[in-house]
Parts: sequence; structure tokens; C-alpha cells
Amino acid sequence: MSVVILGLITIFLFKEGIEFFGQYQDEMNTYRSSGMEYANVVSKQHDSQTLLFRYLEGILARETKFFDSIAKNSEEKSKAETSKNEFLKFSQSFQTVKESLLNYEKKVVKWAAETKLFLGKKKTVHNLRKEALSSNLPAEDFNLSLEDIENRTYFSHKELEAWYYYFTRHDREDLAKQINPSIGSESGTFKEKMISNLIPQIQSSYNDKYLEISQTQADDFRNLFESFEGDFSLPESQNDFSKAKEAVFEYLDEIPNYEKRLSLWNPDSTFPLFRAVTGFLLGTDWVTNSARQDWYGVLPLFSGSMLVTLIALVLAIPLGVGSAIYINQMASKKEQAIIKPSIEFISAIPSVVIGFFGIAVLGGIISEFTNERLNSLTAGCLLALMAVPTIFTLAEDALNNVPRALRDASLSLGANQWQTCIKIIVPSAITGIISAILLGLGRVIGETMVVLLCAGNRIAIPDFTSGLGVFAQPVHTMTGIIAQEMGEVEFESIHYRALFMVGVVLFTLSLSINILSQTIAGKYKANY
Amino acid sequence: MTDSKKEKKKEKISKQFAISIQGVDFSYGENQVLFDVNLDIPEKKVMAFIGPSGCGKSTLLRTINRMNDLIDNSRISKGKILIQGTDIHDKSVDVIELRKKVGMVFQKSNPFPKSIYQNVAYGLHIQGIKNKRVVDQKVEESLTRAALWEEVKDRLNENAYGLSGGQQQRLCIARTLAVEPEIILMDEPCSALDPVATGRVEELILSLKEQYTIVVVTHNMQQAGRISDETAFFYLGKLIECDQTKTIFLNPSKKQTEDYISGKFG
Repeated sequence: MSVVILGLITIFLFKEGIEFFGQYQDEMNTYRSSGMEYANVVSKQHDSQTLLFRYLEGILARETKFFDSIAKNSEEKSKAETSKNEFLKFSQSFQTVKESLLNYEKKVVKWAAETKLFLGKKKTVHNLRKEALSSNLPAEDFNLSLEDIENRTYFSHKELEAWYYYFTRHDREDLAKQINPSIGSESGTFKEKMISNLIPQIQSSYNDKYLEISQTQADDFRNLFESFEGDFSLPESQNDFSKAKEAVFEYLDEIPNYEKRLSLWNPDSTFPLFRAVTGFLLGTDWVTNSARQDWYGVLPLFSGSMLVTLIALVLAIPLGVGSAIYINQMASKKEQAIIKPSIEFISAIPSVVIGFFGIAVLGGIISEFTNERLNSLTAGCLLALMAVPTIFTLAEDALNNVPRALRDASLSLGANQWQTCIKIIVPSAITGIISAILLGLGRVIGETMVVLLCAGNRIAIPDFTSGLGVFAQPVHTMTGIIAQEMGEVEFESIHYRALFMVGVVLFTLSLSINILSQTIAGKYKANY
Repeated sequence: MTDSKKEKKKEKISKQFAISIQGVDFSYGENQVLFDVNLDIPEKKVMAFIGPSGCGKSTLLRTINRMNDLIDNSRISKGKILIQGTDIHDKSVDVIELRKKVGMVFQKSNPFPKSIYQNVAYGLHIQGIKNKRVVDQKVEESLTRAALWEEVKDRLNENAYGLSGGQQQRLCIARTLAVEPEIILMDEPCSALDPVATGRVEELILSLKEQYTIVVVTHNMQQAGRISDETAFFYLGKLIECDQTKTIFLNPSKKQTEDYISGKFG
């Protein structure tokens, strides 16, 4: 029975999820052929310049603050003023240089966005035509052939409107809505534009515009930073400036990479299917409902789940196993009668209540040490609380199953109770304890409500380089994202399928943990 | 007290007793299982406890190294047990030290789920003996004395559960010998073994009595006859008779003993 249910779950999860890869591949191909890929590289280059500019802004803000704090009419003040103004001028010229790339980026993004919109429309029309024909709607108003659609470089507003009315006439409002002729129109009229021209335009702009902009910029940046020594009132600013300078030269070294990526862009090439798979499994971005491009990379969610789980286990294993050993080996009958039911009671608390507790109480305590109330540490602590009863109960069972004879034998050899416990009882029960821990792990990974309420829900890979600070970062989890977004996605859209794939990952993970713990427990039983 | 018993007492008084049980009453909670047991066990002899199931012989055995301490509500309500003249329930007696001195082999072989080597070395390790050479030597010595060395010397690092039942029981004996006890208590050590394995363990017991005082609980009358020097017969928590094994088997002074030995009950 349980096998059948498990099989059904697996089949349906996969059935809903597996089409994701095809859709994602399509999406990535559109991303490439529309020029959005190209535009994104330009954006990235510009973003790195903006980052450098932020640096300068930071210094400027500090210097200004310092300037304001000095008493008027002193010699120091006038000196600070000169240095401040000089730096202001410097950062303004930096911004001016930066602007040329910004303008280029805006242009490319606009072209790419229009192409992408058109390609999307083309696909919609293609699908609608197929649907209209397959559901035997009278097709006289919708007499485009598939080739026709393929070769189109634009659809006129008139056509779109005609198709819109075609579907509304046949009470197919849902299909009509997909056409929505108002999209892409400016003040009600469709801007007829030869989309086919935009791609060559982007391609040629690489040689005509981009290379020139990029090279001029590089020279300008170099000149700017080499000529400006920087005379700051504050030593920290001096320090920061030399860091900024380093960062700028690092950026300059990076430029050939951007150029290479841009020159390699080929709108006609397609992504192989495995890129969709790796893009999902190893993708570092989960961006949905974006104006430019959606990304469905599971890695930020996966690492978030893992981080929270790690924290939970680090807390729950010593607590759960420790209390099991204590209760089983050392506690008096009276202590057992109090402690055991109270630990087991925790598992009866609804997870949403634990979540409330986390927000109201634990979050407050944790925000004393970190900046955020809700972060991976908050969620991890609460999950530990939920995992302790599981680990405790199963580990205690495992300890109970150790034959009494082993304990007697050890004691009769002159071992004390502590030695017997550590050297005989725990090692004998170790497989049972491990499988208890693994089941606790399964419980933690699958937990949804607590992480949704308390993990902070920021979709980003935690910055593991920041040492202990990583625990203070808000994360999002695989379970959390499914619970949060599933209610709002369009049925059978790529986003919907992506969430199913996250479910598949989660399911695979939990299943393998359970199988592992069963295997270990099985081995354990064979021991006596 | 009968005449023969008086004689025996006189005879033994000159010897030193390894264990002297003096008027012991023992009960699990409300349920009294031993009634006024008086028994002296001489050094370097094999003493067998016989009697029907539930007669208290195993309980008496377990009180000698205080294993019954682990059972809730169990207690000696009257009398005392002396080992080499010291009351084992005296406050100054360390139960850990007592158990080192009084080793125990159990009814069912119970090796630890570790390697053969680790099983024997365990008692040494918990005493804090770390020197590998000393431990190695001790392990070999104990296994040799338990007549197991030849069979296992090539697979000391294999799990003890891979041994046969008889080998496991001899391993448990070797494990007990490693801590150098003076007295070994055996609780029906052969009840789970086949005749061949039983024979080997019996030979082992006979060879050990040169160095150790051994107390064996057994259901097997022939076994008691083969291995023991003295035999004590228990019935319903009372010591009925204790004498030289030969006397008990050939010429018991009590009717109950005779009936039990001749198989009329039990």
C-alpha cells in the first residue's frame, strides 16, 4: 500500500515537473535569440562600474560628514573643503565616463526586450492556432499557417485584435486573454516595427559602438585613477580609496572577458537540454516575474535549506542523543517520568505555533546578537527544537534494545556506569542512533512552516566566506519557496513546473535519507 | 546442624575461606527469595550450586559480586557476605574493585559487538592500561588460558559474533580472566552449548581451579559431578545441604537431596 502511494507521488511529481526542462530550454533559447543574453552581459559590466562608484560615494559621504563637523573659519576647514571638492569633482568625472556604457546598455536592453516580447507573442499565436484547430473552432478567422507564423517579423495590432475577438466570439475568454492586443502597443496603437532588424542591429553595435565605448572608458578610468592621488582629511578614506583603486584595476583586467563573452554571442545557436538541467541544479539565481529574464536555479534554495538544517542538527544531535543517553542510563524512575513525556510533548506542538514563538520570542533574543530578527539561526534553533523529540525517542529505543547482558558483562568486569555507557552501550546502539539522527534530519529538511515564518526568506546563496556571520543571514528554503509561491503561479507555467522540480529535489533528498536510515537500522537489527 | 556438617566445619576452619556467606536473607521487593543461607566456599576449589529452577542459586551467585545492586528494590535484608574476610557491603568497599576481584561468566555468552581482541582488552582498557605491549601480552595469555588462542590467533581483529557459541563462551571466560580476578562466578555457563563445546568448557574449568576459586551454577547434575569439589543443594530459597561432591551424590544426608539427585523432582 505504502509502496503504491509512494509510487504515485513519485510519478505525479515527475509528470508535473519533468516538462520544466523543455520549457526552461525554450526560455533560455529565447533569452539568447532575443539578445537579452547580450544585454545582460553589458548590464553586468555596467553593474560592476556602479559598484565601484558606490565605493567612491561612500568615501565622499564620510568626507562630507567630517567637513560638516568642523567648526567654521578654521584653517582645517578650508583644507578639508578643497580636498572634498576635489574628490567630488573626481567622482563626478567617474560618473560621466560611466554614463556612456549606461546609455548603450539602455539601448540594447530596449531592443532585446522588444524582440523578446515579439518572440513570446509569436509563440502564443503559434500555440493558440494549434489549440483552435485541435478544438475544431471554425478557423476562417485564424487562417495563418505555421510557416506564416514562423516567418513573421511582426504582428499588426489589427491582426491581434481580430484573433482576440475570434476567441471571445467562441466563449474562449481564457485564450483571448493570452493574446491581449494592448501589450506592446503605445497609446493604443501597435508600433509596427521590423523586429528582424533589431538582432542585426545589436550584433553590429558590438563593433560599431561597444568596443569603442569600452576602450575609451578603460583609458579614461585608467587616466582618472593614475592622475588622482587623493588628498583626504581622514586616514580611513585614504585607505578606502586605495582599495577602490585596486578594485578599478581589477575591473580593467576583467574587460577582455566581457568583450569575449559579447563577441561570442550567437543568436542562432541553441542551448542543449542538459544546460537546462544544469541551469536548474547548479543555477545560482532564482528570479521570477522579472521584467528581463526569469531564472530558476535551485542552488540558493538548496544551500539555504542545507544551512538551516546544519544549524538545526548541530543543536539537535547533542541535545537529542544526550538526553536519550541520560534518560536511558542515568536518570531515576522519577526523572524519567517527568522528562520523557515533556520531550515527546514538543512534537505535538503545531509547527505554526513554533513559528509564532520564533517570531515573537526567539527572533527578539537573536536580534540582540545579529542585525536581523529572522535569519537562518532563528529558523535553525526552532527546527532543532522540532527534531529533538524525533531523535530522542528513536535513540532511546535504540539504547533500550541493547541487551542487558552486555551491560552486565561490562559491569562485572569492573567498569563503572559511565564507562559502560560510553564504551559498550552507545557503540552497540550506534547504528540505531545514526538512523535516529537521519530521521531527525529528514524531519528538519521537510519542515515548511517554521522556515517560511522565521528564515527571513531572502533568496540568495549564503555568504559562507563571512565565517560565523553566515548564520546571521536570512535565507530561503526549498520547502518555503514551494509553500510561498505555489498558490500564486499560473497553472502549468514554467514557474509552476519549476516549483514541482524543487519538490522533486526535496522528495529525492528525503527519500534517500529515509532509505539510508532504514538500511542502517536493518544492519543494526542483524547484529543481535 | 547435622553431625557431618559439624565435622566438615571443623575440617574447614583451618583453611581460609574465599567466600563466606553468613545467614543471608535476600528479597526482590516484597518477594523473599533467599532464607538464612550459611555457606563457606574454600579457596581454589570448584563449588557447584544445584537445585531446581527458581531455588535462588543464581540470585545467591549474583549477590556475591553485587550484580543485584542494579535491580531496583532488591536487597539483602539480613546477614552478610564476606570475601577474604571483608564484608562486601561495607561502606569502605568499592564495588568496582569488588567486581574486578570477583569475575562473572553469564548463562548466555555475551561478547561485546567488537573484535575478539577488543573484547579481551576491554577490561584492561577501562583500568587505564594503555601500553600496547602489556595489553597484547595479557590478551594472548588470557586467550591461551581459556584454550582459545590457537583457534583465534589469526583473526583477533574479526568481530566476536563470528565465533561459534562455545568459542564465544570461552571468549567471555578469557575476558574475565584478563582482569585477573581471584574468584570466578559462572552462571550456568554451558546451558546454551552443545555437548562438545560443553566438554571443552568443563576441561577449562578444571584447569582453572589451580589458580582461581570457582563457583558454578548448573542444572546439569553430571556436570556438577564431573567438575566440582563441593556441591551445595538449594531448594525454595534454602540451602538444604552442602558437602563434598562425592558425599552429596553417593550418600546425601537429606531426603530432599536424594530425591532431587535421583530425579524424583526438579
